Amino acid sequence: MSNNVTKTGGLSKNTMIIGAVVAILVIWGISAYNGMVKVEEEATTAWAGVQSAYQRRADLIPNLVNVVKGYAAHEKETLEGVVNARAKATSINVDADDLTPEKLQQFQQAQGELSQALGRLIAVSEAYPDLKANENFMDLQKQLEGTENRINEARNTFNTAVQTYNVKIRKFPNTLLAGIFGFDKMAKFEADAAAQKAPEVQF
Amino acid sequence: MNIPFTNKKLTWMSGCLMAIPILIILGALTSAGTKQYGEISPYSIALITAIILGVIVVLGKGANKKYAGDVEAFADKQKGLSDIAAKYNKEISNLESSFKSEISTLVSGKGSQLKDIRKNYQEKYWDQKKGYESECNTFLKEWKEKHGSLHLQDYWKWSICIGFVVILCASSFSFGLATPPSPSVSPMAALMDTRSWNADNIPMPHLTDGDQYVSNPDSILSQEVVDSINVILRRLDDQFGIESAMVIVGHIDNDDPVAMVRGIYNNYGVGRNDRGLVIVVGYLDHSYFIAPGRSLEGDLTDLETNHLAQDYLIPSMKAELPDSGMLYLARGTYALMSEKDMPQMTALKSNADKDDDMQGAGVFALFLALFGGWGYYGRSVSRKMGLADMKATKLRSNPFFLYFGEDSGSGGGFGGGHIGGGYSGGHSRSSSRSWGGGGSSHSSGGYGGGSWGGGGSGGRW
Repeated sequence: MSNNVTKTGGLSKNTMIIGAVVAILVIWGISAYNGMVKVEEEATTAWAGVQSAYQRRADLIPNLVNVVKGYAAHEKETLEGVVNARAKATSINVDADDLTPEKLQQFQQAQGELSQALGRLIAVSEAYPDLKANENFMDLQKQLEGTENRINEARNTFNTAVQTYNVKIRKFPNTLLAGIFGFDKMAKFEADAAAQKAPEVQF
Repeated sequence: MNIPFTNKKLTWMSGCLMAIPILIILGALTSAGTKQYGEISPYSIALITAIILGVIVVLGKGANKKYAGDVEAFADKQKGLSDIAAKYNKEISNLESSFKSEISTLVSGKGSQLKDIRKNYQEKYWDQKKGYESECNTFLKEWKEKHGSLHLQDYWKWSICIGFVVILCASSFSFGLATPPSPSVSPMAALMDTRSWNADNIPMPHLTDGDQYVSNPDSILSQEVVDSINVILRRLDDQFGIESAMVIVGHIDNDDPVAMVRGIYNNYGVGRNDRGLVIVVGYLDHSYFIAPGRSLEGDLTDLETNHLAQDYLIPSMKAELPDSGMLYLARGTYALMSEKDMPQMTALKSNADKDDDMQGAGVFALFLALFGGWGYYGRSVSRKMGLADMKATKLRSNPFFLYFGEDSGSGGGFGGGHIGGGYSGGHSRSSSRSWGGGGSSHSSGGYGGGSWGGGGSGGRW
């Protein structure tokens, strides 16, 4: 019987081929895994940027409330609304490792309510010329505008990072490894339904 | 004693009437000057005027030599008139001495007697003056009969007058050159048809030339201001590591400067180590945004960028002076980073206007000097040649002056004139060239890969 197997140094050709394939698979596996880790980290870093931007806004609110109180103390309902919304928003901490769509929606909703409350506060302040002319108030308004821009940019950066991550883990054959090593799809920021409504102003 | 009409009053009236057509002619010259704006320099006009005056003087010197006899005759005339004046001035001095000794003997409180004495001596003074004028007229009559019409006298009279006319005309024309005509189309209106720009189609000169930081595709800024801003932004880059991109256009796509800022950062990565600074201004949209990079936000906060815009950019843009606005914005940013005194915007003028004012002041001073110098020269010639007859010699003024009758006779001759009006600028403005580009570069272009975190401030004016 002819033997087609060539023996080289004790290893058969089949063994070598199998070994090479395994090596390629391992190298690919390592590369793919590292790639997914990298984009996941970028997404979690972007999430940290989002939280930082929202926290920056939250930190401005106490000063804003104090300034408005000095001129419009009787706008109690509006002021309390802002304070309560801030408390609720800052109480929701979402870990990047546990960023499920439900938790992200919860976070977004809380922040959206805070945005609404802030919008009402700013709208109400239009009725108080002395408050509008107050330098501290104007500075705080400018800082709030800057913070809103930062929030927008941070959300855009996060969404882009999440998109890149989701595409990476869902592409074949990465999706095989993603399932094995627990790389789950991440949720993105969606358009906030609450933001579509204009704040109601009551004088 | 009121004299309703005297030669002096008639002279004033006729002078005022003559002034009207003269003013009309000067106004026409000024208007002509505005049409020549940018082609002839006022300094050239002043130089030509000085040459013309020089020619008159040289010709006059030649005429003096040619008509030496006339010069002697004028000298004789001058001497004769001076002798007559000296004689009568001596008589007036004697009268004055007599008057003083008479009033010194008066008892105090005799006001009416003093008044009578004054009146008496006043009348004696007028008698002396009449005698002086009569003797001068007789002398002049004899002198003119003897010498007749002298060419030199006519030459110098006409030359001096022509010199003044030349200076007046030249200064009026230069005034027209210095005052550019108001454009029939405002600069804002001229930009109305410009295209709108976004981050994808905006030219970025810094990509090819590392010394160019300003993108000015609609030529809103003058080239001089672009160059000045580039120097400041270069210093900002070298000293503080802030890589800048300053964009000023007529229209921004969708009137959204924030989107343009975001696009510029994403497309080009302005800023090494995230220390970029992107400034976008939509001049016709009246919108702007100043966006420091992620790592620069701590050094250039939202409030600081807002104050820079409020203090420098917005007031200038409201006054339709984009040159001033962008230049002061750049200067203010540099001053803020280097913790120096912030620049004071005392007057909203573009650098071109400031240069115009400086040169206008120089031209004004030059024509003033020409006018004064010619006036002084004319006066000295007039005295020497006796052109003003009796007025060149001086009879003493009335020492017994009272508030009635004619006042003291004052010496005449030519007095210095003055140039009417003022100058607001005299430099021909160079036309704006196309944006950025060109120039020698010390470094190759390209940006440092920075990103934007959303910081900064924007708004509208």
